Amino acid sequence: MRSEQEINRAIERYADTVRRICMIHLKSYHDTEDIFQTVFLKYVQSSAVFENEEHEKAWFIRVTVNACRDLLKSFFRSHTVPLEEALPLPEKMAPDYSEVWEAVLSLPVKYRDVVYLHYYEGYTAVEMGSILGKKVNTVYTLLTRSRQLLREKLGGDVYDN
Amino acid sequence: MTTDRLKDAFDQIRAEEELKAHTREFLLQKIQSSHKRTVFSLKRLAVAAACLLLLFSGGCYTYFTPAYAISVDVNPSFELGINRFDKVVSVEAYNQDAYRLTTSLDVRYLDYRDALERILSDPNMEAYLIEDQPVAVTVFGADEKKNSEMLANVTACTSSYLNVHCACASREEVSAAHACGMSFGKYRVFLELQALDPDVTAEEVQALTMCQIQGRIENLSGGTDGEPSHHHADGEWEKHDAGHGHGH
Repeated sequence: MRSEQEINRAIERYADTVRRICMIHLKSYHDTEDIFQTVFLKYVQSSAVFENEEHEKAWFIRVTVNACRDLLKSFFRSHTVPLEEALPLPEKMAPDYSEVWEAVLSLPVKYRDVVYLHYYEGYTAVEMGSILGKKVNTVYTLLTRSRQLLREKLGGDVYDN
Repeated sequence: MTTDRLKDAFDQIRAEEELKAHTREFLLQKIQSSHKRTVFSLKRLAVAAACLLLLFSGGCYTYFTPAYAISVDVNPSFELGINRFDKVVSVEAYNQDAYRLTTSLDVRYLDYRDALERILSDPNMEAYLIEDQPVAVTVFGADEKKNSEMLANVTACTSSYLNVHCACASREEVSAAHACGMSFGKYRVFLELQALDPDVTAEEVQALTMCQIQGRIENLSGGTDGEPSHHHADGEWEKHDAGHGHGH
């Protein structure tokens, strides 16, 4: 069981990362709250020793992605439609970003993780394969396909980091 | 440029302070309830351990505390402490002969019937069980019903021995005997002797064998048949002559 101090540090450091992953998977704020509680509770109960900050961050990303997948796969979720199905993007978001977000969210779910991990977090295909539990070739395929789709939706070029 | 737009768009997303606060609150509650559960579990564990300890101590106390006793007096005078489960839990010797006998015999934790049989059949005891030597076996305890049951069993156990007299005694009488430093069987004949000779003291009798005390009783009472008159507040003495016992 981790201390209150460790919890506060982890929330301050990884809450934004968790929130972004929730954003690309979930449509409901209530579900996001559930995922936050699940992920940070796992952290509190985990006895994992992290070699460095990168290792810790990768742990949070993997746990959050898995928690989102589990929530979406759950029996209740697969048989009901949330009231906030058409949850709008954050109100304060500038129109330019809204367009990008709409493009990202319009991608099939399997592409969104690699888009986020590669273009925002800067992970390589090998690292993403390890985090997402996918083969490297699969990750490359997902990246290529998602790049094409984003180019179609947003125009311009999407470069590798 | 789309890559930068993507980065900027993702960068716009931040965890709301309310979301962080709720998560923090939830986790702290979980930690506290976990601590409470741990404390509660520890308390329950402590209570369970205390109960077990109490039961164990109670069991040990019940097992190792003599509830009844059997006093055997020939010349060796000793008492077997018997627990509620009919097991011998203590052996107390009241003279040197008894000390020698009881140290060579291990009868602890035996059923009292087996213990008596082992004692009476022991080669060291045979020397004392000569025909004219009276043997007093006294049963005593708080429960009269149990005393009677034990007396019947002891009588049956000793039925093949000559001159064995079995009886029951009360706790008060036994306490008085112990206060005089004698086993009850010897104390009883001391009382008989004292009735005939008021000057005789407990110290004097302690040094005498049962046979010597009986001899003095016979001399004082003028009897020649060698049969001591065995009477007791709780009833008559049981006497086995030539292997025939009588029920109490």
